[in-house]
Amino acid sequence: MIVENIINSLLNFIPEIILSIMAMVVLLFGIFKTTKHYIFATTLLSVFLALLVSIKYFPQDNLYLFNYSIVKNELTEFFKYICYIIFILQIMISRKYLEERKLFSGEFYSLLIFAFLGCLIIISSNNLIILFLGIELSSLSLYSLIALNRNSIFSSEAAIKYFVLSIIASAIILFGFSYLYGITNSIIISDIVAYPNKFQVSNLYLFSYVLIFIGVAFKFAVAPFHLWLPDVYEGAPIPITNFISSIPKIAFFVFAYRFLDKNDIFQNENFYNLILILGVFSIFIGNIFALAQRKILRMLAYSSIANSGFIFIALYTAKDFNFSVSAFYVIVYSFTIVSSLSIITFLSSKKFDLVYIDDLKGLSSNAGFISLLLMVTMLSSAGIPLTVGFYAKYLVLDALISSGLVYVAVITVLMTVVGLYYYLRIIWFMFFEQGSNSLINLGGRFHILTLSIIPILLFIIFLLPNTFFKYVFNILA
Amino acid sequence: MIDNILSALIWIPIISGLLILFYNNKHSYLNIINISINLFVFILSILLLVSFNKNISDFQFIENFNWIPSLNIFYYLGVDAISVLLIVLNTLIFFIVSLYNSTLKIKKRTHYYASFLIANGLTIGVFSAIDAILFYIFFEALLIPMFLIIGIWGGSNRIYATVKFFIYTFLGSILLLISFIYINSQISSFNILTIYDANFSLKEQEWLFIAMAIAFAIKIPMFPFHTWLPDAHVEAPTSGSVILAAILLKVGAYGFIRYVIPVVPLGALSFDIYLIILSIIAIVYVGIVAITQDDMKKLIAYSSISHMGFVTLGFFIIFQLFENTSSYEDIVISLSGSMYQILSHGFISAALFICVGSIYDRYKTKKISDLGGIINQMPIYSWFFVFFALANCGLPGTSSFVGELIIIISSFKANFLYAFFASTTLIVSAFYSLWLVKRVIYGEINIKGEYIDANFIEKVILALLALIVLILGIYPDYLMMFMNSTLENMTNNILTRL
Repeated sequence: MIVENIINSLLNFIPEIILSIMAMVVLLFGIFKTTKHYIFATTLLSVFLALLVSIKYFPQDNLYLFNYSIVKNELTEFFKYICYIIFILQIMISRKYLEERKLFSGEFYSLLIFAFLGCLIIISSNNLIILFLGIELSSLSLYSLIALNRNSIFSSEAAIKYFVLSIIASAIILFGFSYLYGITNSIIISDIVAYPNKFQVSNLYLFSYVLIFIGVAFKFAVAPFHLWLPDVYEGAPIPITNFISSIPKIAFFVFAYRFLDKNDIFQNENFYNLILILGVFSIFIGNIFALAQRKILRMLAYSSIANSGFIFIALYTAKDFNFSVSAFYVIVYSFTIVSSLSIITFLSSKKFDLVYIDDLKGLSSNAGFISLLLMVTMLSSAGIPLTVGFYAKYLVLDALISSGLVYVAVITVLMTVVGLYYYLRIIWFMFFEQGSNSLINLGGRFHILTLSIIPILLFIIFLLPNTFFKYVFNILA
Repeated sequence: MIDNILSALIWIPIISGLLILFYNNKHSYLNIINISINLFVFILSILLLVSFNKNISDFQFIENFNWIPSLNIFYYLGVDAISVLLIVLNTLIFFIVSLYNSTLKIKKRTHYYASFLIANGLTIGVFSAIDAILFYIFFEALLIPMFLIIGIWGGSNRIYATVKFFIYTFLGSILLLISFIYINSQISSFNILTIYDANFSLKEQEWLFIAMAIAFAIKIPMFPFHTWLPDAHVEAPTSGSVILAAILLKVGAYGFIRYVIPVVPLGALSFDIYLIILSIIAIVYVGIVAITQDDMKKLIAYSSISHMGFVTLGFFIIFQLFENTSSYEDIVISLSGSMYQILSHGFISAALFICVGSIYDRYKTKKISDLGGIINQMPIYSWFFVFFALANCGLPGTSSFVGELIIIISSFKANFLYAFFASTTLIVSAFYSLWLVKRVIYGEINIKGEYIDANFIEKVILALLALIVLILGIYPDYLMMFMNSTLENMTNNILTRL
């Protein structure tokens, strides 16, 4: 019986096992001159393989592996597929950038796969210890990835900042976990979440939740826990920025979902107001600081702080409805930011990093199609119709108004108008200003095709959103 | 075909606009293709006008498709008399603009044409959507082509102007979105017909009114929200100015009569005095501001704001009118006066901007003080300029006379003071229009040289517009009858819910 269980668990865990083995294989490939050429292809193939296998082992029902430590169901698989798609796009775009800066190596891809694996484990863990291992796996890989560019002083600064602050966040989360274990006498998350429904909850339980969500706020970079983000965005190699901006956010969204779903603690006024206040504050800080930025990555960092604020507000509304609004927002936001950062990765050529927004001046005359793609992405970030970003903002506003918080809705939309300015600035620099960007990289039909996937999706899903909506609403209902 | 005529009207220009992007900028048939698409859309809209049954007050040509069931959003189209007239105005103006564009030297010609075609389709969408969110989507998406038109092909200070335009309008429209979402959260429908039947409390109506009125007041624009318009007009290319004045301002007016007054009549009732005051300020003060302008485009922009003041005046005096006379007929007349003013201003302002644009093309200046004595160089062209300037100040026999007269008479019945201030426009608008003519067309020749008079296409365009202005001015009855049953229905709708 036990053996059967273990075999069954291992079978259903094959995608993750493939990833961990292949990460080490890729690392090994990096050592030898003859195999070095295969690093990129191996990475891509192994991620594809893992995706295919995980589609093959799609769970019909809630599936608990390894003695309730890992959970697999439609929801986890859905978010994992989204992570896979984003990850594959990021890998495809990363190669040229890394090669031109001599960062292309086995370690890079190996660590990247490990970071990705960590996020997958966060998504499907049902056990505090496994969850923490997942967090640490992804964070530790990311520390070294950020510092990978040893020649850049920004890179080292970013790595140190991320390291120290992220460690503190992890410690706070762990502290919260230990309280939870003490109160509920269990490390299985589904038991912990069910605890307040059965027993009288002490304030200590609430306190541990607050600690955990401070940690989540750190990972989401919600103000006032956002200070590391702009430096990391700026300092890290752009493919890593791309990774940090999206996949960990999806993972931590599922983390938050797992802790809050069907939990009575979420009806506690002190707790949900905390989330709301963090969200609103973050929207303020993000949008206002983004206005003042001259560097494009810092601007995107502050914009992502504002978007995290939106995610938190959407999480807040889940107390009355369900998590579909926030899930939709997280997914749309991740795709949008990945699209913009991929385009920036692509445009940064040899010896030329796309650093300042000014560098985009006159881009449309050199690279019309790329600027069109970036325009669609920016319009989606601003939530203008004809892109899916509109529905994301719409759903959040709808949920806010339905929970009776019209004034919060008004504040958020006024801040969106502020935010519109810096998104428009990118568009007008590309289309209206004159400038020479001879240094910008323009080649590669294949890359352009890859880059156009997300913007085209943003447009098509705007026109025919229904299946997508239904799916998201269904699995989170 | 006739069943799906509205979808065809919306999507034919948008799709052909996207397809035209694949052409080479120097393609020899590009102009003809562009003109024929616009002509085709115009003919379609005429077909719509002809097959529209004006005796039925309900929406016609309805297309209903459950677009996003999970969000309760429908692809719900339909037109009543107001929308039909605005759609015809829209397609006609876009057709004229496409003719005018073919005479110009433009960089990135395909992009330019594509922007206009897409704007054309989206505007038709704005006028024919019955679902509030669908309306909002078209309304907001319309910003993108206009943003690009002003930003890419505009004058030297274009970026400031276009960003100001975009952010102002976006600020308004996002308040509109919140209002729609709030309405939906109360009655769980975005369908405008259901919304008309909903009963909101006074407080709700007041807040909804404030939010929605700001949105459309920015778009029209009304007095304190108008500052984006002169900038946008000055910097926009001529064709952009034409669209801005003839179409986009009308979207704001249309929003008032479709989404504000019938939806929240009690809210409108409690604030009507403020909107009347703002309208009068727009008519008098902005008219006086127009006198002092030295830039022709700015002058016409301010005159547009002043004329749109009449439209909002006609909309918002209806409550006091009803209090004084309790006659439905008066209200219908007041509303149809406003509608008349909308249509007439669409044609006149389009013509004036084309005139100014042609002067700019030839003399490379828009400054009134630089110009003079144009009649000696370009007599035919000057004739048209004088004609439209006179039409702009409401000369009897031209279309703007009808609209303004109706509104002034209606405001007499509401309150003598309103009528008094509104009629000062006859002096003020005559002042700026005639003084403009005096300085630009007559007087001494300031810029010497040989200038080509209006070419064939310009003559056709201006003659067509002049003809329309005259016909509408001499025989207004057809349009009045056309709108009558729709406006009666709307009046009923508003007054029964007071």
